[in-house]
Amino acid sequence: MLDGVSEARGEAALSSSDTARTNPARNHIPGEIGIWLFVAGDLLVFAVFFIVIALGHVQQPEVFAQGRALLNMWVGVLNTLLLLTGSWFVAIGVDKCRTTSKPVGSHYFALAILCGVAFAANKTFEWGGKISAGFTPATNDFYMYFFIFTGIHLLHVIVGIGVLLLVRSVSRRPALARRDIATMESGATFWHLVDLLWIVLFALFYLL
Amino acid sequence: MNRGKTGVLSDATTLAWLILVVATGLGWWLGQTGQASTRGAALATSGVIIVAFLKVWIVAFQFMELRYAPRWLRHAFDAWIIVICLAILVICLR
Amino acid sequence: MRAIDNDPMFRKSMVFCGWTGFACIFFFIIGGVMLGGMLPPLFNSAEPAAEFARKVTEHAFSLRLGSAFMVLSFAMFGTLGAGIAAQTRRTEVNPVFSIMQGVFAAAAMTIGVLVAFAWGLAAFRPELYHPSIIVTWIDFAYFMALFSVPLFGGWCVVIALPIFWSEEGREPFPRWVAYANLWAALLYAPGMLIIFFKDGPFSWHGIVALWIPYIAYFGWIAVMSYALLAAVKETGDEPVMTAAAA
Repeated sequence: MLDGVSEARGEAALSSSDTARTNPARNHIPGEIGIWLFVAGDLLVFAVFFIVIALGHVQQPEVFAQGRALLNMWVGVLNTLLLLTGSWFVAIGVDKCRTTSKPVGSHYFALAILCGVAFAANKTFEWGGKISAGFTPATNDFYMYFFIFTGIHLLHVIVGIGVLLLVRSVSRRPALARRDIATMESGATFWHLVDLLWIVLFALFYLL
Repeated sequence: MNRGKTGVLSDATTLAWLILVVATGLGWWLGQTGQASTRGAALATSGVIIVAFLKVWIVAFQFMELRYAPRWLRHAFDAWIIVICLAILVICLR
Repeated sequence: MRAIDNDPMFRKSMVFCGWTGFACIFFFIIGGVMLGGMLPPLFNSAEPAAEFARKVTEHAFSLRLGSAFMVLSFAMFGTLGAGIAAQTRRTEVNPVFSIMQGVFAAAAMTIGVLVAFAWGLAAFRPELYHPSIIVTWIDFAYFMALFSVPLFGGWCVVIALPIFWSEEGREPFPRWVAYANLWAALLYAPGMLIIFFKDGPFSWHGIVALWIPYIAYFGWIAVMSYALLAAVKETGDEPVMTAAAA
């Protein structure tokens, strides 16, 4: 039984990643092609969002500067670090699943899920603080954009936590088929997408 | 089983994470500088935007494993990063 | 369960369903974009009611004609949806998702034709209606089209799930179609923001709440029409007796 397990994992590792490591020029699409269609679509939509925010920043410089000055920089920085660390755990977890026969990958996914939950909690506290201080989406365009666009991003984080729960349960299977590896890579790709969208949102809302 | 190679990959992943954390700090510092003074504000703004999109590129290249992906996919992603970064720079500095 | 092999009509029926999808886009471009003023929005959610009345009076004929084309277009949600459900049905032993898809398609078609009705009614008697009634009809049309996210998004989700859950090689549509559906559902979501805003990108004339969901929706119709035509054309994917049917 145990031999069968490690053999299956080893085989999956060999077929989907090992050669990719030894020969980086090999064309390996992480996950399935479908997830990249999704990523491309989401990137186009968020490109529109980023440009809308940047236009607001230029057209109403005072409103945006005032709104920005009242945001708590620590909350934004902490959230950025949480997502970056979550992505780091996910990348290591996927790699462990491909290369080791022991199911240690799921621990890394669990840590990444914790990062995601902490992000969502931190965001909720930030929003709660802003709303109880009297800032709502109706206050001005800065807060309208802030609440809606970070809200749409938070929706992505929540979906991403669900995806990571799925990835974690797949990673605990005794034998990982090629399709399981692809599922994990697809899920990881979505989580990294959530991370990189936040990086730009953080810069546009907190730093500019 | 593949311990040596795993080590190399983990190291690259960890290095990417470290760079991203440092870049976050750099972006923060640039942002503070830009918001505090009017002098060099344009420079700080461009710095913030360029650092952000460099971070995006690192996440895509290392974490999303685009470094091993077919060229068309990697270049399509790079093109998105460059176009959006330039568009935001043009809007903010105009 | 009825076997569907030896069914010479099947391919023709499915090709018909697929082409109604493309026809739907074609008629919306005529009715909604060129004549009706629905997509580059003729009206602005933030402008006064008198302005609505003036625009409706000025463009009454093209709005009426546009509404007629839009009814034609939106009625085809049903035929396309039935084709998608029929294709999903082929892989289900006991139909569950295909029934859900049928329900969602029927509801989408109903809400769709009501959008066109509301649009037409706004231009029906502008000389008699109080301007605020005209505003209400336009609001109603956009609310049915954009605020109905759980309907149109839910339809996408019940198309995606059976694809993901199928055994490998037994999917009703290729797996990328499932991802395209989830993406479309995500893009419709900002449409629900229109209830909170009367101006800016999140109002019913804005880029985030109007343009993105509309383009996503008609892009989704193009994807599904193509997927339907491709699914029935594929060799080795002819109507066959399923294992359970035997």
